[in-house]
Amino acid sequence: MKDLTIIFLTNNRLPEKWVKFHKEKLLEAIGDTQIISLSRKPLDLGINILQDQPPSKSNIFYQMLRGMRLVKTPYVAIAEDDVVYPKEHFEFRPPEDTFAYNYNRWSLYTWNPVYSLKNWIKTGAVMIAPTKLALEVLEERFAKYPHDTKPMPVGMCGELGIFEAKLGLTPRKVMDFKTEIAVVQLDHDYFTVHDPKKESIERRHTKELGYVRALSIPYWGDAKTLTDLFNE
Amino acid sequence: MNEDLTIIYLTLNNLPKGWQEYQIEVLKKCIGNAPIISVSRLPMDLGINLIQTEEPSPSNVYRQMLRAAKIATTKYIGIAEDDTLYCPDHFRHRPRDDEFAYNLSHWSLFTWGVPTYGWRNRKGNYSMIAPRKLLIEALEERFEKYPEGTPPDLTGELGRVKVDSYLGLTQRKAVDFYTNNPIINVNHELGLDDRARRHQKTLGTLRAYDIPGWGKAADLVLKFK
Repeated sequence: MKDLTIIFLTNNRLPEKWVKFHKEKLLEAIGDTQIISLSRKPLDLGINILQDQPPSKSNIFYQMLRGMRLVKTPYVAIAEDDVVYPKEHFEFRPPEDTFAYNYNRWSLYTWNPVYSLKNWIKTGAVMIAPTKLALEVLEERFAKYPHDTKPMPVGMCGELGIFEAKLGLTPRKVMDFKTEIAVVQLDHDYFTVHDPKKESIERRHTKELGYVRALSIPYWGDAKTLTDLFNE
Repeated sequence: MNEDLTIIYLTLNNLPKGWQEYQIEVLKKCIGNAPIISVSRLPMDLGINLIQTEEPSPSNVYRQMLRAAKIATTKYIGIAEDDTLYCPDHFRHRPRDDEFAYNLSHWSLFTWGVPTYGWRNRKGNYSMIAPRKLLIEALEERFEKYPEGTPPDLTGELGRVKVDSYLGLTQRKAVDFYTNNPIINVNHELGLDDRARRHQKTLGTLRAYDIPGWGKAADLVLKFK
């Protein structure tokens, strides 16, 4: 896919077995598509940039901006280290003025091997956008909320195109798309702790499954096969 | 349990015998003490049995529901269709007096193609639970306006905005509910849905081969024999 760049974000905290599987699946899905990876440790994956700020919500978008400035292709897609994607996800192209989010997405908790539909909320991990638009929006965000002096308020720090109104920025168009094979987003214990009271593992494990549930799905197979890669 | 609910069971008696037996066995385990009114083409030993002689059509489904609802005496009605497998928590749901409730914990299972469960965000008559009074009121309004039956392409679930709007009827409320265990609606060649008969129906957005409570699609589809 010569017209697309993948911006891959990772904190390098996930188990080795998963990391290996994830890389294989990502490369299988994107073929010769260019990658810009933003990591905490050096990574042999496309153009590698080391993250230079402590983990935070604002930092996710800040690192995205750093990556975005290097993109040369007309489209950009986000890939996260705890999400697996089918090839067709990266084949979608939105109109020039629109952010697109794939809504065929299962959630999977690594402590409970059942796929479930949590909600239809758009999440940054499944975004594909025209590069010019994404760059414009990120530059606008950080012009108003400089990452080092006045970071975006946590509650307003969300998906591109969706939170612009809350942030008092130019409104943008957003659309859904769906793939035949689903994206799977894993919830795990290797999250970045900001507030240990709010983000304890015990607390996380009380999260309820969504009401639509499955044990095995097309292409990805048994939920347990995926969660086992986390449970070393 | 479920003394306040009547099950209206709808069948054309044209599904495979083994399936019918299995489906009714599963249904009986789910409904507790709820009385059943069955509406069938052939006489059946299932609750109060009404025979339908009218030509099968989408509109006739609703006409038969009205016939049965008028005989029922409970506050609520739960629809049970012969191609759907139910779970006990489905029949425990009770909507408000002004709401038709549809269970969205529902998977479709096609009898053709690779056995796969499919889920879509759509209300189905097979998953409806409603206050009897509201059901009768809505259906009487429907058939007063369309005494010869509603047009097949406009006929649809009670309370759905598009359906009430196309038919020019009072807009009533339709709400979703979810159960812990899902219900399964089998799509097959023997029903009224032309797209299913021609195998042109598509699976929903979410797809699965194996689900909690019902197991593998490949195993369950074998029951439809």
